[in-house]
Amino acid sequence: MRIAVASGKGGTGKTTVAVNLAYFNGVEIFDLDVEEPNAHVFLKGEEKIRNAYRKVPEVKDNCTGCGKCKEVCKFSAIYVIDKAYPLHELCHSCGACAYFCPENAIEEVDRLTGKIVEVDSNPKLTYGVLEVGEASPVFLIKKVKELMGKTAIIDSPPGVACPMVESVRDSDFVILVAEPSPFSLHDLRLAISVVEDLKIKFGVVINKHGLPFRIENYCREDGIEIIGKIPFKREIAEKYSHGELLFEYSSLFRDIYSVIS
Amino acid sequence: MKQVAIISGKGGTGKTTFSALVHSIEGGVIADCDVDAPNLHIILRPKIMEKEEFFATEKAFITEKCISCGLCYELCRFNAISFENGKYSVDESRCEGCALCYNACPENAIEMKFVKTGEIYVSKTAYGSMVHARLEPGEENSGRLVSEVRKKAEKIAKNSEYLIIDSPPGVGCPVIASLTGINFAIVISEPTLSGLSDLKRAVALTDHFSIKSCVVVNRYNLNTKIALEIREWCKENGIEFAGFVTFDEKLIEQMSSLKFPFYGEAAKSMSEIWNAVKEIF
Repeated sequence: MRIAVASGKGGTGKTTVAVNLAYFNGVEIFDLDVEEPNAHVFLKGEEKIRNAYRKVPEVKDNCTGCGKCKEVCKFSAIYVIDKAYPLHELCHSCGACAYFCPENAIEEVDRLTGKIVEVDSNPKLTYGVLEVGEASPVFLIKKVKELMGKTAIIDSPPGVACPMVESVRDSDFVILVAEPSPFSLHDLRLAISVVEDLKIKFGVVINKHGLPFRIENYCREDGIEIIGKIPFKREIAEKYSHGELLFEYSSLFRDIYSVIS
Repeated sequence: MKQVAIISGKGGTGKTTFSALVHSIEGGVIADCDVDAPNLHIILRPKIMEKEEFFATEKAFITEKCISCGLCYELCRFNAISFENGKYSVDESRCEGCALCYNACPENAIEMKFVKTGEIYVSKTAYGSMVHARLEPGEENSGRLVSEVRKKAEKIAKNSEYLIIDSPPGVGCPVIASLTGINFAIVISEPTLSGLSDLKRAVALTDHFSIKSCVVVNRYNLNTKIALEIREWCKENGIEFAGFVTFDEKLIEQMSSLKFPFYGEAAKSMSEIWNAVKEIF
């Protein structure tokens, strides 16, 4: 099964849960937080890197400047002065301009959107790295997902907007990682509403368990199932900071995996 | 009026804590541009004065005029059209609103409708004004909502000295929208290998847009070695290093119980860093 690890709030411990879950259960892992991928800090190996592209328009010499492309572009990604000029940063690669150009003067060409890295680690890690300056990570997330089999752990980006949705979509279970703070609780509830809309089963792992805020009580009131707790310990934070796995807690990650599957 | 964005790359490094603290010192206007997971309002508890609904996203809808020719299905690059029981329909959550299907449909059987993307609020805090928003969970166009928040904040902040922008994590569209046209960015980092990796990408983004930035390492004593490495990296790359903030358990307690303004060692060094940064820029 595909298990996505998400959170809403950033920095709650998604990557910690994802890499340890993958390592101690021997499951392939995909880091779809392509804006800021971090799983590779924990799982090392030889890297096979290739470019990922998306389609953007290029205007040929036979453009008459009729303005049809500008008219159909919903993203203001083309302006026309005598001829059409595309703005690739704003382009959503929908293909409308090329489709409607009456002169066939628009050709769709490849634009580098990021890199896909396959790491020869154990377990295998695959991740995307978005080109700095590219606005949408969604194209790259989709490209990385094409390499995913039926069994995988997915490290998702923070937030509850389109990149997070694309990362958890098509998964069979979502682990939402929360920490005991009113901020994490607030964002957890937002993340739950997304996962419920997508009709995916989910459970909550509480990281830094032991901090004063009683997040479990709120989860209980909301009827949310808690499937694991990682204690608040300085040594865990230190291990994370060095990019080390949590060998002392291997059973915890095996238990979480067996509860889900 | 100077616009200062607090960014980080990595989530959970302390952007909102730092932003709230600066607001308590400077007053003026603060904008929470982390519109999909906003947290600043939890600390500042603003009183909402104005509320506005935000409709930025159009979605396609297939009407009864559809003769099931399947052209839309073929053309859609986002797999947003599905075919079930002999009928085509649009999966709203996948639709990007590009309107290719709408423009191409030979039967004019597709309509484009605006859907609510979120809400924008103009509020009062104990120190000044705050503009914030809430993106509908799962929605897109967070970048446009950020731009809208900033537009409103800029209007209110005309006579303030500073407009503080609490930015979302990452380096994608909502972060880019928080950065365009600002005066400088403060990058909040943490002393972890992940934090360092993300910091480099956040600084690359500010460089990409030719924005001046400086770096703060929060909770530096969780790993002093990496904290020093970050300072060294800044020096080597000609980036202003603004200072270290200590790991302060008292701050965690204050945040859990929402005691604001924060006080103690970490809060003190954050205000010192802010005062020093102000001078530099």
